[in-house]
Amino acid sequence: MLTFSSLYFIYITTKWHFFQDYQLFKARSIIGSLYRKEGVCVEDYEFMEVLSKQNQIAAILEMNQVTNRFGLELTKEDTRVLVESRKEELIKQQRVEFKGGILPKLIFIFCDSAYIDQNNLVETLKRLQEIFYFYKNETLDELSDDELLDFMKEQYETVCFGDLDYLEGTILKDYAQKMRRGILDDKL
Amino acid sequence: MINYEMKDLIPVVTNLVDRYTSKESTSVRMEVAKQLLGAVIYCIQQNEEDFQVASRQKFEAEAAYQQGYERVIEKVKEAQAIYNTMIPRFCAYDNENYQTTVTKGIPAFFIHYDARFAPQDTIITMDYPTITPIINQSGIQAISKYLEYIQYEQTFLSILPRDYVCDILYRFQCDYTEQFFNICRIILRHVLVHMLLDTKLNEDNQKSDYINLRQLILQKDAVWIKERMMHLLEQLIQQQFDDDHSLKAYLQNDLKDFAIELEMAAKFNSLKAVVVL
Repeated sequence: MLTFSSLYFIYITTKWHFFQDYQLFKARSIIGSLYRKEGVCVEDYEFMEVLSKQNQIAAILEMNQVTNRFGLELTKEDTRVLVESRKEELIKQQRVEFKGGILPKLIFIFCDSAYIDQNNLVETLKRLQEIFYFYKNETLDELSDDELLDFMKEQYETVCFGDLDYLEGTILKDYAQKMRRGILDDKL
Repeated sequence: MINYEMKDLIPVVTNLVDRYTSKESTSVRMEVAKQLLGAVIYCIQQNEEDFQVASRQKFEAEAAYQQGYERVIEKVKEAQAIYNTMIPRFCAYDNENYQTTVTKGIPAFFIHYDARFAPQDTIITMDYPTITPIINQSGIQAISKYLEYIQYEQTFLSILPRDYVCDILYRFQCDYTEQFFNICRIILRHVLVHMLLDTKLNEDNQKSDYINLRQLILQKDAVWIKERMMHLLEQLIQQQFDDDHSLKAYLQNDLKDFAIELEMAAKFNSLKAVVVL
């Protein structure tokens, strides 16, 4: 039986793969040029890119031990799709992740949702991941990962009833606007 | 800079990101990542500067960063000590830009400087121009240099009475209090030309002084003027400042420009725009 503390341990340990986000550096000429300007060697990227992806996939697959309890399972192909999607989202949202990424935590928090089943699991996780990174930017990084994920989960379950468009386009949009204008009443 | 590979730097940046986000966020915005990466590189460079004479030993990136960070903190303390020593005797000679930059800008730098997450940020624009411009330097390195230059200027200007300096500046430009030029340069040129003409400083300027100066300059070229000015500056530093080589090195940076400006001004009979007699 997997306890919460052991899960936490898995999450933390998966965080210690330093190179997994390296592909973002490669994609960002701005940082690449900074490195080159300062005389830092930029080489052997392909190796790190492969290593990064493998670490990500392994970390997500480990989450199956939790999701199985709710009848959900991610295949290796699913995880590959999610990892690819994560990379694209990070590039799109102009963000850099130095550690294990948000997917294991996202899966852990949303796996007991009443609105997620095996049929929509990958698509929902992809959308949630997309929404998460988008609103990290929109809330100006004022919210921690846990705060944003908890808020998303709460609204997804109790207000949106599984409607991701409503979550993204109305609830979170309104929330982020209020946060930026400094007129947020309720604390998370 | 010693070449560090990406795999050496990523763990250092990762630790810094952890500190920045208090381990509450796995990702940061690109500009934040860039800023933190810049912070790591800046600190490593500071460390290398200190060790470059002793040896070219390559530290582990994390150790190099830590030592560099501690060096940055030391430099901030040193700069603060220099500033605190200088400021009681500081005189801006009624120039608002000079006054604001030194008495408001620099303290603001010390308040807002972030040695951990943005040591490479200079924060203030250092609007008062020094004789030697601050180039290719940033953060505390730039501010330390700037303070050093301001100190040189204050030392030089302090040999003359405040009212006399203000009078020269007023004669140079009546609205000098609102101008953004270097004060020390005007006074240095004034003193050197008086030495060149062998006239006394506190005498009223005579039209003949400008005529004499023009005739002298027209007979010579910029190289001769520069060498002569250099010689006069050496004399001045020896007599008044105990042969302070650093001060001389700073002030002599103006001589090349001064020589060319004098040559051109003599040619077009506009010496009053270059030097006050």
